[in-house]
Amino acid sequence: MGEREYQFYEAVMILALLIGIIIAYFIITIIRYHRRYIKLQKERILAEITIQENERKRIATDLHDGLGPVLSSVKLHINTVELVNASDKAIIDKAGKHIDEIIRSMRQISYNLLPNTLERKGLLEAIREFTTLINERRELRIELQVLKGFPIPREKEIHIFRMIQEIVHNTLKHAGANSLKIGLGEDDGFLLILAQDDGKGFDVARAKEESAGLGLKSLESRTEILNGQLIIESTPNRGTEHFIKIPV
Amino acid sequence: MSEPLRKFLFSLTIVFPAIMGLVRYRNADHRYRPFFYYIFYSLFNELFVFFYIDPHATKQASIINWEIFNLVECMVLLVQFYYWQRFKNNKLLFLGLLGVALAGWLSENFVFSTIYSFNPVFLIAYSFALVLLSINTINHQVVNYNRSISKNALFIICVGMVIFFIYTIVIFTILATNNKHTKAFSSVFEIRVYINALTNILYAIGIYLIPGKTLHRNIFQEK
Repeated sequence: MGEREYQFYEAVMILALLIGIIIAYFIITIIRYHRRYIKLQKERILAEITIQENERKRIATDLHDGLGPVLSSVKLHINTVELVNASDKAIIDKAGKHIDEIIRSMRQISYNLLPNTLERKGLLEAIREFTTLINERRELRIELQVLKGFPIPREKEIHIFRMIQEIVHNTLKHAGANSLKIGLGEDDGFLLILAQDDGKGFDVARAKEESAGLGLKSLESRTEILNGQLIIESTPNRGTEHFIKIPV
Repeated sequence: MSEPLRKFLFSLTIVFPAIMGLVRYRNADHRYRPFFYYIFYSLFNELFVFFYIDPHATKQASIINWEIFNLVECMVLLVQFYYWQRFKNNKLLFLGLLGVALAGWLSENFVFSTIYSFNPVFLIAYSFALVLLSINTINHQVVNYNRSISKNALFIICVGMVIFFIYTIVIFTILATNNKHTKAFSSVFEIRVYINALTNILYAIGIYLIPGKTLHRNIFQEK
């Protein structure tokens, strides 16, 4: 190799080395910044959801423990009024019915905000109660299968319940399904949730990119903060499957 | 060890992703199928060149084989990017790009030159396009993937492509702009042998990380 050739060779090698360093730096920076971005994003989502859940809990408790007893007491007092006039009695009866209606609606709102059962009896009972309520409405037939009981950390229960609630609401609202099967199982320290419906299905990739709704995003956010995994598989006219795997 | 054998052994690193591909082929996400075919074809081509072209065929046959390999590589990888939805389901754009690539290859090899001579313009052009598509895919993954990106198959494969095709552009631009076949030029070409080996290892890792077709177990059947 002559002198000029050698100089050319050296220049190319230095160029190749510099390109290599730039590419390596580019890739390492992407990985590092992505890691930091994910961590910050997770913390932000967790903070937002925690604030939201605490607010829901406060309102639900205020409605259930504050307004509920007051309304019951009002109804009790009304019923103790002695009336002789028939038209007055009719008015009081009507007011009593209205108060009953208010108490029922308030309980429903309170339940939607935070089911009492979840606090008192835990996740599985809350899911059972929720699916029974939906089945009673006869809009969708939900079959719940709990393969075996397993302990779930208290702080994760609300997120898991909300995810199941979201899946059921999405199925009711969009899937046009007749039935929904929900299975809960445990495998090697992971809680597995599988929900299968017989609805019309949808294009998952497109929905993720284009949908303005919050349902899918909420499912993804909650899975993310639980360090879980969410897989949605759907084929047009062949239903949708939600699979969730959460470390417990 | 002789020079051709050493180069052949380095090029045989394609065996790693090919074996991984064979193992993962059936249960891997079907959107990666074109990439598997690309790997299998690359292995076939390496073996074909070493055992048939180099010892038996003429230099012209070797160049024809190289030109055909470039065309297939370009087409299959474009299809792969379409499968990865990098064209946002815009079939017209994808078909247009395939058409442009084919027209470019045909005009370079049959209109402006002959298929029997070294024509690097098509290779440089599609390498450039593939680098841009790979960077686009990497950016998409960075924004949309919410787990450790270093364990993301798409990211690893695209990093491999960026490295391989950037060096392809540099090396072939140098080779194309100077037609003296000196020892220095052969040494420059050496870089590609090592980059090829590194890329093959990245591809093997990428294939290993490809998500399965169905990741969940049907827990209803466990009852």
